[in-house]
Amino acid sequence: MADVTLRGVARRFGGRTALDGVDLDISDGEFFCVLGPPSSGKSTLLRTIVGLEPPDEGTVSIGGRDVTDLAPAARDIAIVFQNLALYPDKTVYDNLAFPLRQRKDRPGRDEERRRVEQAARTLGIEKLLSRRPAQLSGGERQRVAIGRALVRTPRVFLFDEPLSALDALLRIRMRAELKHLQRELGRTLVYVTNDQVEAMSMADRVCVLESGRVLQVAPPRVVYDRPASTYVSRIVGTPPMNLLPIEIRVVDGELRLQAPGFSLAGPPGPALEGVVNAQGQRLVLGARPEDISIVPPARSLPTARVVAVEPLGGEVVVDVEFDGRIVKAIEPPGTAVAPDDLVGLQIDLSRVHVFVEDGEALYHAAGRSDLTLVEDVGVGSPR
Amino acid sequence: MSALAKRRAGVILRLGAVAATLVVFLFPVYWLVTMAFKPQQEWAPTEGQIFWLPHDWTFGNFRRIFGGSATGDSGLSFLISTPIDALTPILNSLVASVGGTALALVIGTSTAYGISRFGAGGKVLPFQILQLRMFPPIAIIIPVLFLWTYLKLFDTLPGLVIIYAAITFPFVVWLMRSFFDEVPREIREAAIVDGCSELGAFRKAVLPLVRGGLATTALFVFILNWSDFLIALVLTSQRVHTAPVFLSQIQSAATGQEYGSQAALGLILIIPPVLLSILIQRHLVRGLTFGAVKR
Amino acid sequence: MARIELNGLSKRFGDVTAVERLDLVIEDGTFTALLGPSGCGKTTTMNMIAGLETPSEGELRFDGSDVTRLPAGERNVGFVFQSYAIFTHLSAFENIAFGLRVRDVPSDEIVEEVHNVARLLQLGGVLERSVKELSVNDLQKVAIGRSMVVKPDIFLLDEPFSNLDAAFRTYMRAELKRLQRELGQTMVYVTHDQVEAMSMAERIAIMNNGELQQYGSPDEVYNAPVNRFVAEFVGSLTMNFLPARIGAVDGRPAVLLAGAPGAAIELPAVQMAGGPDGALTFGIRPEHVEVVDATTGRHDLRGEVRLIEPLGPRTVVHVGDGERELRVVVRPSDEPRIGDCVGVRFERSRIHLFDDATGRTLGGDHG
Repeated sequence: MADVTLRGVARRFGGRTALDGVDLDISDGEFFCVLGPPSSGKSTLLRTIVGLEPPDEGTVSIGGRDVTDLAPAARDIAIVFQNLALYPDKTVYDNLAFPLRQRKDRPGRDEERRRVEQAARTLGIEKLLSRRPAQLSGGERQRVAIGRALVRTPRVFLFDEPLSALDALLRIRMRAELKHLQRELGRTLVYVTNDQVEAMSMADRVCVLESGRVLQVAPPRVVYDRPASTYVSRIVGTPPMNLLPIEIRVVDGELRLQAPGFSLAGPPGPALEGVVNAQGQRLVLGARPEDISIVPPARSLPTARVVAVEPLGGEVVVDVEFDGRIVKAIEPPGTAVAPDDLVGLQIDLSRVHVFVEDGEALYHAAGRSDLTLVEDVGVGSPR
Repeated sequence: MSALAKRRAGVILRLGAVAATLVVFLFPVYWLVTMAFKPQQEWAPTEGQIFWLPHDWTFGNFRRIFGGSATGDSGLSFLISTPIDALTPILNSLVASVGGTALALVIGTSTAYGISRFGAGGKVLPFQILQLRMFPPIAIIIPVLFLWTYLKLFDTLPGLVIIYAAITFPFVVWLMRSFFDEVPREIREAAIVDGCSELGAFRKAVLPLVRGGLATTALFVFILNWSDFLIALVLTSQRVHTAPVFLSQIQSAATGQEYGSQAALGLILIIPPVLLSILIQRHLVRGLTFGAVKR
Repeated sequence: MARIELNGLSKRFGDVTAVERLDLVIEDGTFTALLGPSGCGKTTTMNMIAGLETPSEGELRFDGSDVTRLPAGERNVGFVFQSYAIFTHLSAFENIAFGLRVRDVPSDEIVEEVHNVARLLQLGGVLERSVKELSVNDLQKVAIGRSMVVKPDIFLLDEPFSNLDAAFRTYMRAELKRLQRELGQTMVYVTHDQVEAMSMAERIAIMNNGELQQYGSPDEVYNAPVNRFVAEFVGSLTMNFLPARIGAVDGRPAVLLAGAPGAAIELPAVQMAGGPDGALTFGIRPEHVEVVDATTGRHDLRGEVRLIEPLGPRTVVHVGDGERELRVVVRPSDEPRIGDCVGVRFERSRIHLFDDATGRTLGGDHG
């Protein structure tokens, strides 16, 4: 068993808090992604697990055993660094064999060769064994770095943004390869990245980290469909989720969500209870760009002015100005709108979210149609 | 002027500048080499005649500095006061320079690694080490003389080795530190995660990457030590005189400065640094860390 | 404002050819992207337009007049660098004013011009601050403002957003596009990121190995790539490529996918060439493949679901069949499960065929 457990892990550098009481339970065999912006503490988290960075507080356990005070080599973990850190003076073979040669139970020559070759075959680099890192392409170096982790079959793999320097095409390819590899090996893999696409596409579970704090841990789909806070809602998904300020009140036993150009109504039942209880706080309505459709302007719909059209081939991102802010919508290719056009916005109400402004989520429609558009409420009419 | 003529004029100017520079730098070498093979009567211009090349080539100067007679067996030996032998000073120089270099490298490299990787000494120590270098040797040499006398290190080879190492130590630290700074931190960390001890990571993963820097530093330090005059002059007496000090003292009652013999010894003194630089030339290449990380 | 004309422009560094006989016309007032992988010659091309590199061959014209040998300072070109060259000892205001100061513009005029630029860039609040206190995206705006204030005829930007994080980048993309529309300046934007090029530019010049591959609108390069390189480089989900050959089904010409029984796709009677025995490469974007029930017979290929990559609004499904693997886009609600046996069907009008030897698109535009 190689589950990784962190309890109350904290780490400070001088006055700066890198990790602030992190609790994590990473299951055996899981592909676990830590997603966060630069300097959110995600690299420190990884270095704490591997043992290069002792925590100021808290404990790290692997397979049920407390390893907080154990040296890195004794933890049976391999790490692939962001900059790979290959040994440039050694051949690919020696790079791969290096970890084997440092062990107390160092294998014999034949066994060493067998294991190096097996790792090389898995990664498709068996023809490169006699080369040096400088003679390899970016993707090949990447594979060597992974191979060096693979060769001693550790219980846990750690990856620190290993794909960040690769070009776009290679990245897409390596993403799928890594995922395949992890499934074949069936070992715990902790992967740190600031690229939400990587996290979404590879992870079994995603942990969103910000300023050293865990904001949400959940499968990618859940993080995307039910983000725990506005912060999470904007870190996953490109373009990020649109957030519109709303006011709420209860009218005739019905909950009203008043946005600048339109108004929503819903029964104040259990689903919307959190929203009802938040009366008096500043709230925002969240809608993902793909849940907003650009339609011809109609009286019943909020109206907006097109600001920019970004064709991306497979889809078009349309920026519209609505109530003085930019709202982004994803439309099918060939959408015929141009800057300065007036358009109607149709929001898929079964997919909206309500958050406390800069705060936690209160409601996810998640496919339910609790909310309906109220026509002509008389306040803040469409401009 | 046409564009072609302009370009040609540019080329000629550039060649002229290169030639002038070469003359300035190569003239002393030329003079040293020819002087080493000139007999005594050609050392200085006689009757307005300058000897650009030796008229009568001779190995007499070389014989003279290794205890022989400048003119062979016949005549004129009365001109030479006492026989001299440069072999011991040359050996002294070799031992002191090599020893001092090795000692400075061992201590300096370890210090530099500590500073570069672990921030040893904080912000102040590295600068203090550099400050050591700011004292001109002449300013500290007299106190050191007293110290060395007291410690019985005066006029001994260990005394020379230690002072050479001490003087070049800051230089080693600063050079090696910048080489270590260029090695990605993750190289050490990768080695440690791979199962190395701290020392093992240094020896097996990091040190091989600064081989070029180490060789370069060694060469510089060796040359500094090898060409030292001042320290050896003050801290040694007859017993462990080094070659440069010895060179300055080659003179005879009859002829005053013996230019020819001095040139001959000078020529010999050029050999070790040249040999050393050829030996380690292949390590002097930079960019050895290329391929360690992706950029 | 200016129309830029590159006629047979080449640049060699020793034996290395960075740009090879480039012909390109950038119309006045357009937003054009130079797109390509690193080392494709796009930055060299931009440096030649700016006057930072002298072409080895060919000529460069601005509005018809030859500027090939004109020094950079006399071209009236604004340049925004990848590492925004900002003076950290000056305030945001002084950074923007710098170009005017060195041109000895009177003080009151400088104040007015800088404030104009700041308004356009929505930098109003931070003008008096030291640039050390600015956020990354304000810094980027200051860098743009600096070259804007001198009112260049041509605006050149060299990957200015590569240091920004994803959210700011998306925001700056829209900002820059708005700015260009308001100023109406000729803007040339160098990038290796096809999303940036597609979303901002009116015209995209795609380069590889120093040669121009295709020059067209975002729609053209996406829908009608002229060769396999362009097809692979453009589009955020890389195109699928499968070995195939020309054959016949019931006497009608068709494309047969290698090694797949029954995988024959009839195409309208287009001129198709191909290598020996009609070998060619079949290409289709993941978004133009549909997952269908494997039992209905509507499918072109059948395979097992090997990998699922949820991307949020859509999910990429890897469907494998032997050696081959196809990537297919589905809606999150239609996600199959790993191990499922599914059929895939290609949208006929979206199929691309490429010559194996030259990589060129065969049979013209199928779209």
